[in-house]
Amino acid sequence: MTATEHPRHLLSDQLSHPVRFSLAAALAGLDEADFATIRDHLQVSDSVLSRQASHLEEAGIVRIRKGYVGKRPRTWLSLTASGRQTWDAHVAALRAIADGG
Amino acid sequence: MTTTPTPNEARDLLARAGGVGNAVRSTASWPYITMLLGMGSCGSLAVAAFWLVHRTGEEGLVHYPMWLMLAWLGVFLAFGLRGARASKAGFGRRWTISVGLWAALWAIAMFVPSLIGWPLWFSLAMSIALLAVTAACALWEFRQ
Repeated sequence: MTATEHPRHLLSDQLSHPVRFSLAAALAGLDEADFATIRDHLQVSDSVLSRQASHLEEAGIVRIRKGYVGKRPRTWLSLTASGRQTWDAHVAALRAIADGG
Repeated sequence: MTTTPTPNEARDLLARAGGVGNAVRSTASWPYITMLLGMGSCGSLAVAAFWLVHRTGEEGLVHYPMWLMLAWLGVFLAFGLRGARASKAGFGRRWTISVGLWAALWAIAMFVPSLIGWPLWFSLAMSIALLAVTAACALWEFRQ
């Protein structure tokens, strides 16, 4: 960021959506978490979380991994390396704005 | 295009991110923590049981604590793998170190008696070491 550049330029459009923002916040401190855990914490429906997670997957921010535990299918979510960078930059920009940047 | 939040909105967003992140992290890793504690307790008790078996002079009895311990390890493994729904950042490295330490202590506990038998001091030392290491690793995971 240059001296004249406002921190808003570091904000990610992808993370401006409330559910996508909360999803990235939930995954930021984790290696990965299963779909149901994130859904319950964010208090959203399966379809809403699925849609927003897919959106972030297309943007390269979230990785969606499908697998089985026993015979039951389970979906795991995690931030990609670039997604983690995007999240860190987004949070840094918010901090700068909150500090009056 | 992103609408620039005001400083107050930015603070609210940061607070929300912190709240969601803490809430998810606080529920993560519990199956792994209990699994580590279980590995420590059954390993420690098994060493004590081996010492008791040695004292009776009936070496054939050693199979009973061994099979009981393996059964409990299986239970902990099954619950850990099926129950784990989230893992904290850096879990893979911590898990490798934790299980590696447990396995190293267990290998020592099984190998050294073939050289020196089962003296009480050795059994006590290994029981305490297994408990201490797994409890410390569980605490390490808990504090992340």
